[in-house]
Amino acid sequence: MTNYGLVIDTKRCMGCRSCVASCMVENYYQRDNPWNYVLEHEVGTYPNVSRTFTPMNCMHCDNPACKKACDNIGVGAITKNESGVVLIDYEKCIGCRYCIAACPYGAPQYIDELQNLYPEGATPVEETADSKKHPLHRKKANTVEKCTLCWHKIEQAIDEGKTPGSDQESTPSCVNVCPVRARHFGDLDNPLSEVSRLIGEKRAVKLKPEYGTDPKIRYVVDGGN
Amino acid sequence: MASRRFKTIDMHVSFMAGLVCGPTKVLDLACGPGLYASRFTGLGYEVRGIDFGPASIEYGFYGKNLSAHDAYMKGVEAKFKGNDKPKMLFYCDILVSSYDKVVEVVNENGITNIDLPKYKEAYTALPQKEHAFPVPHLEADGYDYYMVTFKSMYRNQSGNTATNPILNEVVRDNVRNSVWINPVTAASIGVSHGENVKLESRVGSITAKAKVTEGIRPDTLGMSYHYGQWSGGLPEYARKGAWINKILEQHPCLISGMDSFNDTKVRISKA
Repeated sequence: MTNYGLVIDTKRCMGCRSCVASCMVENYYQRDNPWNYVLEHEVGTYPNVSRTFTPMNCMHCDNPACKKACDNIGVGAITKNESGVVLIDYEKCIGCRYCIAACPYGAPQYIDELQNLYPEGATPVEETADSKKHPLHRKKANTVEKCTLCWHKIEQAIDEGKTPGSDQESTPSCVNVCPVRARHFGDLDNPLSEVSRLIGEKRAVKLKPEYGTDPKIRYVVDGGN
Repeated sequence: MASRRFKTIDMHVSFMAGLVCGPTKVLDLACGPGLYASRFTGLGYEVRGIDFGPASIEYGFYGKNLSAHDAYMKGVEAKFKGNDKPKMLFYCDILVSSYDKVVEVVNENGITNIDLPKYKEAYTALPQKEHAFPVPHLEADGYDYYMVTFKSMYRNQSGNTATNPILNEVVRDNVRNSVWINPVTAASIGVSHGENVKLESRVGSITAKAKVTEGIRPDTLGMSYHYGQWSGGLPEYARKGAWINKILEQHPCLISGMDSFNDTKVRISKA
């Protein structure tokens, strides 16, 4: 069994939003629905001020609140697969948005209607036929979408017999582009992986542990665990 | 004669040739490479040059027969390597000749709309007080706040990304960009986060959104570029926001001509 996750070093993050932009390009961004965004937080008063940046995306929880909400009303569109990635099936989603209400991290995003990025009209990328896209990129109006940990990349790597995270093709694009290497991808179940080492060495924490969701995106923060 | 400009040497030689009348023999003590001696010879004088510098003697004897490598590299190590040896040229010949060139061009073409004293100040060989203390902002009476400018990382440090829809979505400040204000300043003019403020300098005024932050000095306002461009080639959605250049005064560097974008002083008020 594998359990993929990220370690994000907020001490290294400088707020450049490269991860946000690369996610938008990689995952056929829909207006108003960032799968990944950066929170800015300012501490102190002038002249003793510091600013921290916290990149936020789906936490791919071990005990996902969104899945519970979806299952409890009998829809079952949200699944947690064998690699520990939480995914939404757009065909089953009914657009009730209970998962948005349940998620403590604000990850799921609702598509009201499909929009073009440019006011002038659709770009060739946006005109790509659904049949040529991965099912997770076949976006529909009146559904909920969220970060997939670039499952289309991980899935392909597994099919080809590669270890996900071993090269750029099998690593989430947000991790690839980070210029200060604040983001790390790997298998949390493997005690020898880079993410496991960082969790141990840098005391990476879970956000909002009181909700009991057991998130798999860990954050290196000032002070540590 | 330390001058290395051939024109000046020619001038000196003809001046001295006008002084001497009668004898046709010249003794050039410390003749160096013979720049003067050769010119006097050309005027029909019999010249004897004396120098004990090995480089000068070699040049005088061998002249053009030296290879390019020997001509340029011989003695360089002995001259510059080690302690107590000069490492750089302190006296900037290039600046002096630049000013001469400007004067020459001005005189030749009869240019009148040019500030020659300012040019002379800019091209002095040694730094002067005017270079060390460029203080145009001290003359701005009644404008209390310094305006500093910067570029954002998420705009790729570029002023020309307003047409990029991805970057417009990353941080949505392309429609109303903000000016950074310290809370103390904001309280003194009665503005809270997100409200509009009006910035006025000696050359213009703009309206922008206030971003109240502790990350800036109370006597300083900060604003980024990227927004409010008015180029006709840009679509309408890429021309939104406040255009910072509208209130920046032109304060070019005396030496390089590069403009300073951080010493304009402004007034701020609630819009």
